[in-house]
Amino acid sequence: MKKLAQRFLIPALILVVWWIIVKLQIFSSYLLPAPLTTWQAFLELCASGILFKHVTVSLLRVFAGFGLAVLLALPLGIICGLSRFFKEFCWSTLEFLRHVPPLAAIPLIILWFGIEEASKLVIIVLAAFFPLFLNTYSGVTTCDKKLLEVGTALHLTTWEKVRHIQLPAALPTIIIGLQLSLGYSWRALIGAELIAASSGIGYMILDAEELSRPDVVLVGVFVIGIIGTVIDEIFIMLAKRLLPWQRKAENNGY
Amino acid sequence: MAIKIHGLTKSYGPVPNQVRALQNLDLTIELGSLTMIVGKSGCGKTTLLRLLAGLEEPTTGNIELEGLAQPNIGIMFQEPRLMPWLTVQQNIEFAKLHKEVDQQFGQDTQQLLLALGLERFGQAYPTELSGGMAQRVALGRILYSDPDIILMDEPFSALDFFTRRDLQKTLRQLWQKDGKTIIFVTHDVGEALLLGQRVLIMEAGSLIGDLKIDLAYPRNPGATGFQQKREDILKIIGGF
Repeated sequence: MKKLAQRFLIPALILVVWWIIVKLQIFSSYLLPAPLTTWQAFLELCASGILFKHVTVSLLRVFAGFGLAVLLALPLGIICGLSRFFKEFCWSTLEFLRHVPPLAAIPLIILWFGIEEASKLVIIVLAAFFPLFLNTYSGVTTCDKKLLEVGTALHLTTWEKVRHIQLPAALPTIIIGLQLSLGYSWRALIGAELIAASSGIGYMILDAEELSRPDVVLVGVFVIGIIGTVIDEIFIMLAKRLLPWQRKAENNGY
Repeated sequence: MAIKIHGLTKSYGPVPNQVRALQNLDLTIELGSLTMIVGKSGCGKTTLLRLLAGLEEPTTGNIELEGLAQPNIGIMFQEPRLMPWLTVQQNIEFAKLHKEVDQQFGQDTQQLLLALGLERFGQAYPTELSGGMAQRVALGRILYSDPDIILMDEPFSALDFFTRRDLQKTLRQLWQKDGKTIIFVTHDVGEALLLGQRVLIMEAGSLIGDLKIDLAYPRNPGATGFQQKREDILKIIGGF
């Protein structure tokens, strides 16, 4: 209960300050709508099903893009971590791509993939790939040599050592990579939808701006933040189930 | 039936500045014996153990395992080196993950847990264990694979006095029961005398002393015979 109060104290304060600013009429209502107006806009959007439609479209894009990024980054990160040859082979290309923000490539991506779903998927994959790839790579390469030596002493083959020591040891780092990657997917998607889309939350915000509906813009912003937080929380819960030993370590003050 | 070491040398580093960890070592260790190796830090005792375990290749010389067709050698390190993601039971059964030797294991995990005083901790994770408990699990992991030779590299040195004494007793009893060959490296002369049938003393990569310890078990560190042997070893090591 105390933890919950701690978590919501600052949002509640922001809400109060927002309400006072509106009451004092410091800004025009075209710039900053009242909290109640925003809430009403939220209810309207829910009742009409518009919000649900846009959220569903955005979520589907995120999961598709994130899924693709996982399929690419996870095996590539593992292979680069295990094989020096393979790492040298593709490292410079990946380093180059890593330094290009996906948003900078948007004009080219739209030119090549059009303004339909494919371009959004490419943007998400580009944004989500590196956090997962780099975390997987680092998890595999930083495996404790002393643990690997235990495998050698027990006559495990190279593949057995990878499977039973290196990959489980890398799992916590891989999970952090997945979590970061999912967050990046969500943020990149909204960026992509703000630039070229005919549906999705990003589009809803842009459309509301053109129609001078700052209340709808605010609803969009809140929904983005809340969904992002919920996805992250679900992820943390799943991670705890996947890594029971880490939970026990935290409880023991390790 | 013995471990025969002939002219064993191990050097590290590039040629002009090479460090010789072991120098032309010749040694025979009977199977079934409990041999202790003592010496100051850097005397080459850990290197010898790592060579015996096959974790490193000798620069020259060779190790012959006479009377063992397919020797199974287990090594226990100074740290427990447990897999943090596995429970105590899974850690003990870790050797099972190597498919080729799957069928060879005769040790029952539950019996091992009981013998090592870990029966209530089978499902615990390493982070929930004390240092002594974790080292017991490491010992269990070695015993599970039922090795012919057990190599121990200062396994109890990081533990407190009471836990160390407790584990020394467990090890001695296991050895008296199973008669495995144990080669135990330590820098503690008292520990060497408490456990060993034979104490080898090393310095600068060579063997400088070889003592037979014919005191009856369990040994009393306060007894005159024990003290005398202690004096003998310290005299050989020197610097006292």
